[in-house]
Amino acid sequence: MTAVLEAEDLAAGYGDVIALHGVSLTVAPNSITVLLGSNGAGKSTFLRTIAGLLPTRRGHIVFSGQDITSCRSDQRVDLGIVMVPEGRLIFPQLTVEENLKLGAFSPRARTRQAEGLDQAYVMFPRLKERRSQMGGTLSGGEQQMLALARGLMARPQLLLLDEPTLGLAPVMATMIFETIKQLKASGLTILLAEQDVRRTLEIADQGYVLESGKLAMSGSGAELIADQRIGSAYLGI
Amino acid sequence: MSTLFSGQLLFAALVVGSIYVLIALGLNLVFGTMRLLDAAHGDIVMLGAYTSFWLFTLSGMSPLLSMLVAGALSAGFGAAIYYGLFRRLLANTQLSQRLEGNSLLLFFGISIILQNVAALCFDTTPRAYTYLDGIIRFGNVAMTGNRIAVLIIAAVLCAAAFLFLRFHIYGLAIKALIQHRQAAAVVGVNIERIQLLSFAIGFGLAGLAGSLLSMTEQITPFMGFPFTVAGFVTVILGGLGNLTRGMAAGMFLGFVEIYGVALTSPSLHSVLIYGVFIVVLFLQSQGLLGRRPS
Ligand SMILES: Nc1ncnc2c1ncn2[C@@H]1O[C@H](COP(=O)(O)OP(=O)(O)OP(=O)(O)O)[C@@H](O)[C@H]1O
Ligand SMILES: [Mg+2]
Repeated sequence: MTAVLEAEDLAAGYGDVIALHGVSLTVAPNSITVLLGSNGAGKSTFLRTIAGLLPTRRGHIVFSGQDITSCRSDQRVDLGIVMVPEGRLIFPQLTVEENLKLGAFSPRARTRQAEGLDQAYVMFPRLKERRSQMGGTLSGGEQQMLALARGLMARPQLLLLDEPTLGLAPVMATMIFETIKQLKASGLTILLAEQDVRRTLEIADQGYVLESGKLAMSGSGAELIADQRIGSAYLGI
Repeated sequence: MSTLFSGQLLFAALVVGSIYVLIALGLNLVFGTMRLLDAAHGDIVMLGAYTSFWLFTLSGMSPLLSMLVAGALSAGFGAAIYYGLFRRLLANTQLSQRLEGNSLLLFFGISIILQNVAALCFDTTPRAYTYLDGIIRFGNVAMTGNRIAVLIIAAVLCAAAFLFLRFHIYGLAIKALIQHRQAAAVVGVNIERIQLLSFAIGFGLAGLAGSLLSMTEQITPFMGFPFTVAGFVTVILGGLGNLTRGMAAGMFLGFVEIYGVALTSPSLHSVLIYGVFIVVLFLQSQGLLGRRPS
């Protein structure tokens, strides 16, 4: 099976700061692949580069066999690479429903906007209750649901999730992890950056550890949980 | 005092206000989506006015028709300026840091060029034509047909703009870009296309407003500047980038101008507008009015 995503020697940064120094990894179809690493390791930078929000300074990005290194972010969304960013980035002065509709902005998703809205409301009944409320007035957990639902409106093939449980109460975090598992079961491929290393590795098929913008370790979820270095660095064992 | 409550003044205020609403909306679109301060906005109004004037004078074309020409030409001009001047500036992250100030200078230059070219081509004689100037009475309010036409057309344009921004996916995308540029990119909005659209709509509305004005006012190459000022006052009054409040503020300014002049004297016309400007800036620095959503 060809990989959904192949990053080859990817470098990116901000101004004079280089945050990613040549990272190569692959994401297998219908898998949950996780990115681990301490604060500032480059996880968000990697995901932003894949989404096309940051220019690639070196290397290649191949999506389902197609080189997309020079594609714009909106073209990548249309191809099915959709990001749910760290900090959610919802539109504060638009209603929940308008936020969701914008999720289906790409031409491929737009034709099925109404159907997507119904599915989003079935998946997150809370959002249906709050459909005409401004995005900025939602609670943190509700905003995370909205960001996730908005991402799904774009009909992704590869979903990039950047710290979806950051700052959430444990119950809400559990619900997000459950949703991620369901999404995989429904056929999606997921690339996930998370702080909650143990729970993330429990659902991971494959994991990569970044350190200072470089790949430090990789392995299956089970291998990484068993690895002593992971235990001491991230799990407090 | 009793004239203050006459329908005559109310009608006059609505006509002036509706023109300001169109001008403010265009200015706000260009500012909101790109942080560009369009100091040439009033000069686009002037170009729209001349378009209708010449088409009427030379070929007898009704301004109700030539306003479409004026709108389309202005929209095309906006698109050309976007492609020629601003697209690359906006895409360059380093240059875009200083864009507000730079854009003010660039547009100021465009404004001077447009005024002088117009003065050269059309000379500086004030021009006017008569169209639909028959008087129509409703009760004790006397209105000229052209003012009624201005009011109706401006109202239709405002309603169309409002519905577009509220319900059309591209309207939503414009608001999305105003509120959160990065998030708009995340959901797959083609930022460049929305910027182009904002330029075209913003300039197109200014051209239409000018065309409407030409039916009722004298036009000169230098008529634009007061509208640029009125536009900025309105946009700041409503909160930079806040489209609906900006439109409401345009109507408010029309009322301030007409009732203010009625209460004082026509010579204070500009003083009133600058007065509102200063009062608004003063109140805003104390955080009372329309802050931009962060
Ligand atoms: N907008 C920016 N401008 C300049 N430097 C940045 C910017 N964003 C991130 N960086 C730098 O790039 C490096 C990688 O940051 P990144 O956000 O990718 O880390 P991360 O692994 O996602 O961390 P966290 O777990 O805290 O989210 C850091 O050193 C950071 O300071
Ligand atoms: Mg991060």
